[in-house]
This record gives sequence, structure tokens and C-alpha cells, in this order.
Amino acid sequence: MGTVNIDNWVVQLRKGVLELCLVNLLANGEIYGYDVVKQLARVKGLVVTEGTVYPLLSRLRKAGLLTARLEESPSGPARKYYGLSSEGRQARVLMNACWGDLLKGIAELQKEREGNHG
Amino acid sequence: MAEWTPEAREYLEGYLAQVSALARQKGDDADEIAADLRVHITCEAEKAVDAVVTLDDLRRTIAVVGTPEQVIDAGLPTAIPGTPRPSVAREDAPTPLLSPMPPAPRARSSVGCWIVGIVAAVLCAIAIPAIVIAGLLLVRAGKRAESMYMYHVESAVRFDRGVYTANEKAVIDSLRTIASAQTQYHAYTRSYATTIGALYAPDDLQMQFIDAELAIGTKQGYVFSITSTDPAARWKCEAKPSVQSKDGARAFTTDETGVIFCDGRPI
Repeated sequence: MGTVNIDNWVVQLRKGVLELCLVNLLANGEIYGYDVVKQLARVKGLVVTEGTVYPLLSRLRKAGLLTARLEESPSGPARKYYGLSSEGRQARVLMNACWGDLLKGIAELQKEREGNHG
Repeated sequence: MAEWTPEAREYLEGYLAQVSALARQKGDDADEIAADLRVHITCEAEKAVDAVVTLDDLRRTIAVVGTPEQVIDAGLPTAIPGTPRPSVAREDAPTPLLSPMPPAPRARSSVGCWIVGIVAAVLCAIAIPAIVIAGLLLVRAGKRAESMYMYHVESAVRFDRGVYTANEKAVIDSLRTIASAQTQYHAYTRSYATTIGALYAPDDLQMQFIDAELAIGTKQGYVFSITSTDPAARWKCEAKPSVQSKDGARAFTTDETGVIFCDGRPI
């Protein structure tokens, strides 16, 4: 009997959760792109390689959910700050509601199963 | 601000060029992603050193940032032959699952299809000769890329060292496959493969990261070999023409960063 492999499941889960984390991270205001990556990387298991966050930021900006602006830096290149657009704020509310429902439903399901086996 | 050695600077440009080419293939904003990555890598590399950023410093930084394939998630097969699970290298490149206003599916009329087809054909007829002529002019002038922006006019196979033959492109693809396979192998074993044969276990579907032909080490008239002085962290794969005069004169290499080199220079 082979070992259980949940890689695919983890990959799919991580993709969706990363967007959820990103919109929540930006909910309180703009953040420098480098700091966005560093803060997301602090969530264990969320970001395997740091560079992958930048394509996601770019894609969400193109989709209209994020804003981006450059600000001159006294030391080094101009800094790019990312924030949530009004569409991004709406998406965040819907995503958090969906996430809450999912967590609640899963918790109830787990509780029922444990009750049946207990 | 720290100084950079010329080798480190050139390596970074090669890395960003490969990220840009893959991003363009995927339809992403290649300029934006490459610019963001440049800032990130520069910050990280300079933070870790006192005065001079060397090639080794940069390689360590890129190992954390990810290979071009990991960053962009392009050009990888949906499943490696004989491997029932998805590529580990794909996992870290999220595609946005969200859209603010998902467009409703619309039925397209046959007239519309014809118009779109004709317009596409006309555009191809104009664009292809223009690209070919531009490529020939660049090759004749012997110009090298001086910045990432020259990559705007290239296709995925047009790099700063000129146009590669179809066989050489296939060799570059094989090296990309090996780099991706090494990432997966490392995820499973916590160590990189030290021989190319280790990336294909005939009796174990879970350990077939490359195809059987490539695992032999000879493909497309090239000999592929992997070496490693520190299997936990580093490896290098060389692809040398088996018969130089017949198969090409150029040798290619890659390593744990995923950057492809031609005759020792990043492509």
C-alpha cells in the first residue's frame, strides 16, 4: 500500500487562501510590495517561494482588485505600494463571509463525525 | 547601497529575462513582475552583505525567491509522464481565482468568428515577417541585451545571445524539465538528485520526475549530466553536444536557481 499523498489538495487550498490572506493584509491600508511578501511569508506553509507573490499582485491589480502606486525612496529604487480598490474591498467582504461559512460548516461536520464515532 | 560584482549583475539580468519570457508566455504583465522582483532581490541581496553582492550571495537569494518556473508557473506539463500527482514546481505560482465582474458566457455568431479569424490572419501576416526581420537585423548587428527591456521584442525562445536552433531549444526545454524535476525530488527526499538517473525510478511511479529517455542522459544529441558538491542545497546539470560538429557547438547548464546558461553565460 502506497503512502498517502495530499500535495494536490494542499496546492489548491493554498492558492485560494493566499488571495484571502492578501486582501485581508491590505485591508488596513497600503503596504510596500516587499513588505507584503515578507508578511505573507510569515504565515507558515502559505508561501513556499517568495517570488510567486508578485505575479499574484500583478494579476489582481490587472483584475481591478488592487491599486498600486510608486513612491520615491531616499535610499534605493522607488517603492511600489499596493492597496485594495473598492472592488477589492467588496471582494474581501464576500471572501471572508464565504470563509466563515466554510469553517463553520466544516467544524459542524467534524463534530458530527466525531460524535458518531465517540 | 552595496556594490555588485559584474557576474552577479549579469546573472540577475539573465534570471529576470527568463522570468519575463515566461510571464509573457502566460499573458502576465512581464515588465511589472520583473521590476518588482528586481527590487525584491536587490533588497534581499544587499541586506545580507556588508559591501559587495557576489554571485554566491545572489544565488542564495534566488533560492528563496524561486526559480523562473516556480515564480511564473508557465511552460510546465500538467502532469509528468508516469507521475500521477501535480508538479511541485507549479504549486507556488497562484493564478487569481477572483474577478470583480466575471463576464457572462455569450454565444458568438458564426459571422463574428469569421471576422475574428480574418483579422487574426491579417495580423499574423504582418507580425511574423516583422519579427523575423527584426530578429535578423539584431543578429547581424551582433547586439546584446543591455537591459531587460530589449526582451519586449522577443518570443520565448529569443534570448540575448541570439537565436537558437530547434535542437538547442529542445535542450533548453530539457534543462527546464530537469530543474523542475529537481525541485520535486527535493520536496520528496530533502536532497537533490546527484545523478540524472535518480530522477526516474522505473519501478516507482511516484519517483518518475522526467521521462525515461532523458534519464539515460543522452537526448537531442546532447549528453546530460548532474553533479553536486552539496546535495542538500546545490546541484548543477550540464548538457554538452555529443558530437560537436554535428549537433551544435554550444553547451548549456542550469543549477538550483533554474537559470539556464549558454557557454557559461545566462541566456
